[in-house]
Amino acid sequence: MSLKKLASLIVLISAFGCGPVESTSVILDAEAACAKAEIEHADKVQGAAYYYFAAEQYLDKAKEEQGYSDFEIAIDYGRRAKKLADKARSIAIANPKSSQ
Amino acid sequence: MRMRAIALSNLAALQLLLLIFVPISGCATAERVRGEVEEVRNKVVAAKKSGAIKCAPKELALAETNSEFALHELDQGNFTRASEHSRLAVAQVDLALKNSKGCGPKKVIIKKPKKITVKKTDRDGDGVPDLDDRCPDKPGPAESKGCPDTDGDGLLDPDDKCPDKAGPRDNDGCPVGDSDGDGLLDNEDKCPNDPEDLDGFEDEDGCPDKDNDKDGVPDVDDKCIMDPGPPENQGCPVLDKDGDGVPDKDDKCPELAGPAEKQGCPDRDGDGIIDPEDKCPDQPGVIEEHGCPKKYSLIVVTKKKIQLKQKIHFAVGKSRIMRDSFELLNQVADALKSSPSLKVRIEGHTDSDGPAAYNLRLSERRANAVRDYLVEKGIDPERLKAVGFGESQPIASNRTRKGKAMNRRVEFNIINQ
Repeated sequence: MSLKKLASLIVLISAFGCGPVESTSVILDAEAACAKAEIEHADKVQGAAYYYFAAEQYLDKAKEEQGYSDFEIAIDYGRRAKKLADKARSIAIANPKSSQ
Repeated sequence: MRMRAIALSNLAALQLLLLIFVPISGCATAERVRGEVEEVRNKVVAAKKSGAIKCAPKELALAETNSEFALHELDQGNFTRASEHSRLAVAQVDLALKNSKGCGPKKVIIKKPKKITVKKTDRDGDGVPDLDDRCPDKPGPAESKGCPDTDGDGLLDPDDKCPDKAGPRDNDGCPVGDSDGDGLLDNEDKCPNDPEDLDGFEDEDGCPDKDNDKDGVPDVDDKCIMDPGPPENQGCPVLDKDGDGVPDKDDKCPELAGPAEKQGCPDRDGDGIIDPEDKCPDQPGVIEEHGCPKKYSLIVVTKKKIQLKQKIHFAVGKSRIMRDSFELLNQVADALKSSPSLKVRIEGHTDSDGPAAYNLRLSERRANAVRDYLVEKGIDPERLKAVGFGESQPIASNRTRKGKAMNRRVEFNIINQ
C-alpha cells in the first residue's frame, strides 16, 4: 500500500470513525458509573434512586441511538447518564441508611 | 389490457392516497405526542411537588426521560418511537402521581389566635371586680379585698372558722369557752376538759394535780401534800434531822446523832448513860452520880484509862500481889462494875534490871495476876486483857532508882467502851 493510500485511509477513519469510538467510550463510562451507583444501592437509597433510574434511561437510550448510528445524540445521552449515575452514587454514599 | 390499465390506475391512486395520508397522519401523531409530552411535563412538576422524587423515583425518572426522548424522536421524524416514549411517559407520570400522594411535605396552617376578651364582672356588686375579689359572691370592702368580716372579730370570713361568732385570731376566729368550768379559758387551759383543783399548787396550768408532792400518796390521803413521804407515814416525810437513821419521832435526841440502841442519843464517854442525861458526858460515870465518875480514893477513871494513885506492889521478882494493894484493886473492880461497858487492857511493865526476856515474862505474869484478881472480884474476863511489855516501854530513866521505880508499873488502859 502506498503512502498516499494509507494517508487516505487514516483520514477516512478519522472522518467517519470518531463518532462510534467516542460514543462507545462514553457509553462504557456511563455503564461503569451506573454499576458503581448500583453497588452503593443507589436504586434503593431515598433521593438517589431518582437519579439512578434516570441515568439508566439515558444509558439505554444512548445505546439505542448508537444502534441507529446517531452517535452525536448517543454521546449526549451517555454523558448525561454518567453525570446522573455519579450524582446518584454520591447521594447513596452520603445517606447509606436511608434506604427506601 | 384494460384490466392492467385499471390496476395501474388503482395503484397510482393508492400511491396518491398514501402520499396524502402519511404526511397528514404524521402531523396528527406529532401533535398528539407534543400534547402528551406537555401534559407529562406538567404532571412531572406536580409529582415532584408532592414528593415523587422520594416516593416514586423510578416512575418519575421514566416519565421525565421518556417525555424528553419522545420530543427528540419527533424532531428526528420517528413518530412511532416518539409515540412509544410518549405513552410510556404518560403511564409512568400517572403512576408517579398516584404513588406520591401524601408523600410531600405537609402544610402547617397556623391559625390566628383568637382574641380573648375578659369582661370585668362583679357578681356581688361590692365594687371590687371578681378578678380582684377574694370573695366574689359576698360583698365586702375593697380594703379587705372584697371580703366581709361578719362577726367583726378582725378576721375576714374566708379566714374565720367561725365567721358568725367573734373569736380571737389564735383560735381561728372562734370563741373560746371554759369547758371544764375551772375559770381558765380553754385556750389557756392545758386540760380544758379536766378542771383545775385550785389547791394552790400549779393552778395556772388548768390541770388538776392529784399528787402535788408526787410521793405516790394521792393528795386526798396525803397529810403532807407538799412534802413527799411514804404511805406508811401518811404521805409525810420521815424526818431525821441528825441523820442518825433514827426518825425524829423515835429519836430522843433528834438534833444529836446517836445509835438506835441508845434511842438516837450519843454517849460520848461510853458509860451507858446518854449524853443528855449524863452530867459528865466526857467522863465515864455511874447512874447514881448522874453519869459522873464515882469518886474513888485510890483511882481516877478518865476517858482513856483508870489512873492509879498508888502503885500495885508485887513480891520481889514474883507476880504475887502484896496485901497492901488489895484495896486499890478492889476500887478498880468497883469502877469496872459501875461501868459495865468498859473494857480494859492490863499492861505490865518492868525496869531494865535483869535480862529482858525474864522481865518480859515477869511483866506478863504480873499483868495476869492483876487480871485474875479482878476476875476473882466478879469482873467478866472478856472485859480484861492482860499484856506484858517487859522493859520495852519505860516512862522514866532506868539509871536512877526513882526512874526504875516509875518504870515498874501496871496500867489500866480503856480499850473499848
